Amino acid sequence: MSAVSASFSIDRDSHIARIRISRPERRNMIDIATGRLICDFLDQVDDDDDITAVLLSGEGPDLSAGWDVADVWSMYIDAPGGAVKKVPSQRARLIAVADNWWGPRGLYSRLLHCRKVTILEAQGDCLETGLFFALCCDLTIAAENARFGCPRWHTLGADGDLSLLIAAVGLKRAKDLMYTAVPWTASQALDYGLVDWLVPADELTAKAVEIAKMCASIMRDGIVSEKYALFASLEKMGVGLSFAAATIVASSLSNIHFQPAEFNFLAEVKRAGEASAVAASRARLDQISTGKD
Amino acid sequence: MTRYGTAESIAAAPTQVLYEVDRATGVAWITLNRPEKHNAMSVPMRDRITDIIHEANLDDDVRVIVFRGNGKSFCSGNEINEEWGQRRPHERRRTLNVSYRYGTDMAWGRLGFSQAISRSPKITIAQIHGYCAAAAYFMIACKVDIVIAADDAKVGALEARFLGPAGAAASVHINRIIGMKAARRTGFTAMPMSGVEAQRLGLVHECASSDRLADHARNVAEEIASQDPGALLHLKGRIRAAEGLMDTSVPSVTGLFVSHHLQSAPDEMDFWKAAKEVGVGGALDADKRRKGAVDPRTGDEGVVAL
Amino acid sequence: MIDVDVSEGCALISTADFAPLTRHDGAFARALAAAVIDLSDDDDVKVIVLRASGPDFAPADQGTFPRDLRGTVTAWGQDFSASDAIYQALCFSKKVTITEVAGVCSGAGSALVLASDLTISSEDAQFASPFMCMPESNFVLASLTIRLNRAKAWAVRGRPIGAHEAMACGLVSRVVSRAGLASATQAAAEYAAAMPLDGIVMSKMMLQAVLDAHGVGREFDMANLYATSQRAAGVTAEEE
Repeated sequence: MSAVSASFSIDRDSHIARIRISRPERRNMIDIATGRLICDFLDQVDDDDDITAVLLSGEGPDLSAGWDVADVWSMYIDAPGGAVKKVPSQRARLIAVADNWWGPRGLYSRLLHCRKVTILEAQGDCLETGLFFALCCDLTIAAENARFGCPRWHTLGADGDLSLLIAAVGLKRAKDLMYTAVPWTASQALDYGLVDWLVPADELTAKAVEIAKMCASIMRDGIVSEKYALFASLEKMGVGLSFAAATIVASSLSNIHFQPAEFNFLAEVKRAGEASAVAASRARLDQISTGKD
Repeated sequence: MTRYGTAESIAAAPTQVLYEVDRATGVAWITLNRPEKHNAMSVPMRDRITDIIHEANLDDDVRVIVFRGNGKSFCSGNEINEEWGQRRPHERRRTLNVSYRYGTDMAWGRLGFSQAISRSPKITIAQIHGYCAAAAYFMIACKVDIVIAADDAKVGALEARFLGPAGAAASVHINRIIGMKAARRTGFTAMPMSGVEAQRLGLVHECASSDRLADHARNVAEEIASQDPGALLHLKGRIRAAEGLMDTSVPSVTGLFVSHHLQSAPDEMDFWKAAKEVGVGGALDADKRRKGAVDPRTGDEGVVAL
Repeated sequence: MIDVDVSEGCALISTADFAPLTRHDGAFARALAAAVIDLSDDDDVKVIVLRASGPDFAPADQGTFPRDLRGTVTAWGQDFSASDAIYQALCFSKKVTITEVAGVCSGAGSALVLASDLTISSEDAQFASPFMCMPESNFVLASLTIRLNRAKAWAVRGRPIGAHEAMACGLVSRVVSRAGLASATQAAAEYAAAMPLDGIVMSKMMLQAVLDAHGVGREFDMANLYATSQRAAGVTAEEE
């Protein structure tokens, strides 16, 4: 485990808090420890009346290439009931998925329910975790080189919340991302309503700070009360139900069985390692023309 | 039903909200007529809108209801700092009862004028030009069936910076109309959308240049009104039913968050205090000069006169 | 009437066009629904494609009022709006569903487009609103797909949406030339069929949770009421 997987700072003068994911050697994939750190910092930020906006960004060329599957097994084993038998119990899988990702204490739920205005700097790969960051944050500023998607859905099936994606981009576009797994370019993401602003990569941070200051000029009472009104409205739009369903569905991910002729991603990870499995999966997909230009 | 307002504001409402029915075409016109205030809506004006819609709903000749505004703007929102019959002036910021009446009964709630618009069995249209801000944005433009806008209209929760977004990000209706992310953007930045931008997002059905807007809206309204009246009622009825199933209403608690209940922090401008001292226009100017304030409307010739 | 061909995990349902559904031809609707339900339950199938072999996916049909409705609403409902009728069978299928649309797509055609996962469209396709004459069409799906106000304007103005506009507002997934239509559909189907069967089922479980939350199923359940309202409003076809 690297010593620092994310850095945190607070600028009281501009009322802005910053979260910077720094695992560039892993393309800022989010592991359990990093997710915890982010949640803990959001707890602190939520209790700090000086802060009105939170900026989330990643070090290096990518925002985040996804969930770091390297610690998937330990996530299950470490959960209550996870080590009673040789294979983690279903309750351990549920608890692990809930507490780390989709449940009230999980990373996505925590970010979505932050009481401050949350602003994302999206660049390079914004895959899976990166995509969900864009959906959970209030505002997203994207560099022209950003791409959004969830390639893992094509290998294993869609296992995360779909309600935010559908509410942002529409039902058929969401399904397109589910069943063709070709990431969207930043300009597509802007067209579809996933991204709010598109800027050259070297202007990304400056634009994000400008927007954060704009938000910070709104009265605090206005921001916090609107966030709570938003939480009420997210429930009306079924986001709570969808997160609860995502907890159940995602916990069944490791129960997936592959038909004899299917590419068994999980077995390939075990056999040849994660990098090799991803490469094999990509190569296989590249052979199929997608009908897209 | 109790009607709130001062004797003066109640007396003025019939001239500030005009109503005419073109019985030949089946189009009813609701015209906001308070151009000196960018058609800011007083409490009696909003009550009058509710009354007119009820009248139009019962009028078999009316198939389509169009909202429009005289003067430079469609409407800048609700009148602020208004005396509307609170027992004591400070009550507007202090008691839950009065806030809930103002925010819910009179606005977001089932008795409010915005729901009178969204629940009309007739097809509703808004013809938008100039500013369409604050309540005009989320209680008229986002409640009608079809919006026709001038290319350069300025639409959005422009008051959010000094009064709070007041439901602009949270409204389920707005989330369904412009998308979940754009709803948060417009609420949390207070930035206006142009008519063209609002069309791209899905709020506006069609745009026209300012000089063509009135004709264009009339054509659309008359074309729709030429359809079979029974068919239109059926169509609107099933759309309304589907909206109910989807649940497009605003969380009713949002009514509590109307600006009157919010307080400014010591380092924030007290909009109400400033408005009392230097008037609403002066308070808006003071807001622009605040430390750290980034004005999202930079480049505009002026700000919306609420 | 309806041909079914299964190859490499992709099932192709083809018929001359889907106008019989707009005409409320009960036998056609039952046969189509049965095909979709059987394929949805077939472990060798991952993708279901609906294709019209004729020039138009669903040509306009003037006789759109459900004839059976003049008799019993319930018989009509059993064939067109029930949970085992075509639209719900397609919308809640466990497989990836694709509509391949060329030319005129009115009435039932647009209802099928809304209920399917992906739509591959030819450049000349025109999508007409199904809401005036099709009580079984789902306005909630339209609202989730192209946003609320666009869906309202589509329904109220009665003007068809062209293929490129449909792409811009998210009603279709691809727009290609007519000549390239079949191969674009084939590519999309093969791509989806490369997913594991269990993975497709998992994605459909997630999707169902969202559709449930938004009231898609409840809207389907309202069809009989909408049919009654439509009859009361006198939205009828010419007597034959």
